[in-house]
Amino acid sequence: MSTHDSAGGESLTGNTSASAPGDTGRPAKRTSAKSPTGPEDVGPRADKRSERLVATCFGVSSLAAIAFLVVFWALPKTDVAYTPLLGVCLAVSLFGVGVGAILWAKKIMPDEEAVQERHPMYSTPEDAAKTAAVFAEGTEKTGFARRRLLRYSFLGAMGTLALPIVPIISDLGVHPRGNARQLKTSPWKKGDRLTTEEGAPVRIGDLEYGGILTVFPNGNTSPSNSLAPTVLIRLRAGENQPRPGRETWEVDGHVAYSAICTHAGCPAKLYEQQTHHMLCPCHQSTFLVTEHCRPIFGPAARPLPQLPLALDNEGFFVAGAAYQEPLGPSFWERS
Amino acid sequence: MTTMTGKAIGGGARYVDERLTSANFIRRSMNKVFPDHWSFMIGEIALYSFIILLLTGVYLMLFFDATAREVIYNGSYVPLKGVPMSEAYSSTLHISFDVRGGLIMRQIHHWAALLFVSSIVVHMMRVFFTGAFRKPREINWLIGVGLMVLGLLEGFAGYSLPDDLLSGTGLRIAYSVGQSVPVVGTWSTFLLFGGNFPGESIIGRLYVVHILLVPGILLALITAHMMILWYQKHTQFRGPGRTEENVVGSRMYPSYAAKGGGFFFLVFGVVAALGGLAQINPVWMYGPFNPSQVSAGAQPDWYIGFLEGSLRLTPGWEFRAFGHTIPLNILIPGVVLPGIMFGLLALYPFLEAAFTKDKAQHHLLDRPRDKPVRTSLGVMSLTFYFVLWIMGANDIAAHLFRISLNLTTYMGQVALFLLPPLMYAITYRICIGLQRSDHEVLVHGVETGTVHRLPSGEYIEVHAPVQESQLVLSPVEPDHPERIEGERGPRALVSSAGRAVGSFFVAKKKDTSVPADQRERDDDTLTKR
Repeated sequence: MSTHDSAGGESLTGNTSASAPGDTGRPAKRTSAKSPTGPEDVGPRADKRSERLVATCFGVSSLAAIAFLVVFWALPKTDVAYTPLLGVCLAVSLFGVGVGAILWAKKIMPDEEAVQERHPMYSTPEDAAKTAAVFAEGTEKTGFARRRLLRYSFLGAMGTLALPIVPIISDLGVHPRGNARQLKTSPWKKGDRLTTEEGAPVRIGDLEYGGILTVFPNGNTSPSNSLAPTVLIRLRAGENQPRPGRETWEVDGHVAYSAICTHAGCPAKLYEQQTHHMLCPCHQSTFLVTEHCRPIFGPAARPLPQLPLALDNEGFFVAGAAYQEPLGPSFWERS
Repeated sequence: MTTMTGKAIGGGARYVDERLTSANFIRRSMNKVFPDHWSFMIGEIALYSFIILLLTGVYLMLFFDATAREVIYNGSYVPLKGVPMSEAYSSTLHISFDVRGGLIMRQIHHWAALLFVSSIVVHMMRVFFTGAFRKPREINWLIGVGLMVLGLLEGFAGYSLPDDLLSGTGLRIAYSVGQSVPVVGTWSTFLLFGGNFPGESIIGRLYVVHILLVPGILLALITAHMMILWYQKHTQFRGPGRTEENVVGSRMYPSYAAKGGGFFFLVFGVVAALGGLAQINPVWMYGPFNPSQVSAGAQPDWYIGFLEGSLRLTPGWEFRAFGHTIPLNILIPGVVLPGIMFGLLALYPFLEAAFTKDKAQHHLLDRPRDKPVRTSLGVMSLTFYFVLWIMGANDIAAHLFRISLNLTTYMGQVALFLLPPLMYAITYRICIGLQRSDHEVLVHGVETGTVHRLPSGEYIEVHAPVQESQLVLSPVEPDHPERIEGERGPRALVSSAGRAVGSFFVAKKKDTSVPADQRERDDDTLTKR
């Protein structure tokens, strides 16, 4: 590597070389008699055996690679065994090379252990001083320290060069002013019909007691309208304990709440009929449906926003009004 | 070497040398010594899985179409035929079902990504507990922390690309986390997503992040990491003949190259076997992303789990004043906590150096027991992380052990503050105990298993004095100056089992103390200008 190379040549510490015991040409094999791996590897017969073993590994690898081709072309790709067989063939061919190479290193190559000196991880004070002097001399020649006009105009130009980046970056998204407004705007307007995922409007009787249905405004199920999903739940008469001022928001025991969790924005729709708990599967925020969906467990801090309900003149459920508060997770400009 | 190959190599080498003057550099590189220890291979696994990721990633790029444009699926996966979905999801299905060998490439890529992040984390633990981050290696520690954070980001971006229901839910949460930041949150998430969630832009932008931006930085940082490692030389454990001034091990060429190269193929082989045999991220089972749907028991890839856990454990705190909202229930677990965790991790070498007033250079590694405070701090932090990680799957745990979900959350909240200090105390005590037992062996010798009966009737076991080759000198701890390896007893059994496993890759430990007069110096050393 180049850094190593230049440092080795420049710093002249000179102790970057490997030194191995024995003669310089070929490092001595350091297989001691007490080493359990040593003795079995010596001798011409053992040597041959090792060679055959390594060659077998490489041979198996080649065979597996050919088998990979056979599977790849001969087997239909819809076969259940297609991908597993490809994996096995590829793995065996890779393992063959890997095990072979390691056995080669262990059984055939001399078992040497080399010692190398480290070079010190600092420059001599003289070297450091020389470098500092060269830098100081160069800086002096530029006049950067002396010529104030040059210095300030240069730094100023570098600073103003950063300005064009700002509009380029900021145009990646919507303008900051619009953001909060977009997040605060209710995706439901007064009179929007509650429609199912298939687009069918909903009327009284479509839901059993304890039933839950995901509804969208006027059939708009587009994923881009990600804050719109709402749940319609039918409670038994008298079960709902509305907030003061929201007594008229339910229609015949039906209530509607935003499905988007006020914590991190997952759909919180796991409804438990018996307890009237609504659970978000992401972080387990739990909301109590009968008490205006206030959070009773987990990380959510706010109730699920409620959608006022009404019936249109054909008897279908509609939004009695838009949502009265921003939907989904909290954000800086929320309130 | 036969004359034929000798000539061929000589000719090629001359050609290169007359253009790059490379002979000295190449010789020094081939002679470079790398110390052998199984724990030094963990970082290699990370490097090799990165190579596998590049190879498989380029292949996947040729088929993947990162656009949010809606299409009607018409491929061979029957259950989703006719379903509207994004082009990104549809092309992922195409790779999985209609490209020959596409599924195995996708699965190898995903498994390699998991292995990449896992090996980085384990490598980092090795570096931490052995003190390899100390001067002069702080810069490489910082690069390593950067690599880990970028690895998480890269994994998350890649995992979000198929635009399936599971990953879309993850993106939704990421969006909410971004939104929670005071003042700039809304603005920056709108910049990144090009508008309100999900928008049309995010898949294409994540794609650029995933295939160009982050891999480019990763590649540059890995190169720097390796160059610094090469230049500074590897650390080594204490042992006979091993000092602060030398490196004892095998040479780059041929021994280390053969073992390291072979190890690459082993790693690749394992990942290929996993990719073929173990299904991962079957996106066709989740369906396309839809903001009104979510599946229960959804888990992210393991390395995001700790964030999932911290989000689940934080109570419903929210701060509202002066017309602004600060959702502490997201800001703290999603932004502040990981910031503190990664910040402390990055700063640790500097904090330790400041508190211990240690300004020396270190090339010999510590045994964890010899640095009880550092070891205990590490175990404490890992415990904290582990509680968060487990709590990222508390619903699975509740289901598995048939306990109340709410109870698991309360248990996690208590454990998060109770377990780390407890683990600190326990680890500290274990370290001291191990030190004492080392000291014991040193003073009284090694148990021989030979029991003598004295004339008085008393039985004693004969202890043999510790051989010099078993002594490992430790200059940092004057009260316990020597350490022993290779004694008998249960601990020796454990360590010999470890050696048996490790000995497949490395030579058996042996006395490497070479008498000074026998040491030969290479000609480089002699040519001092």
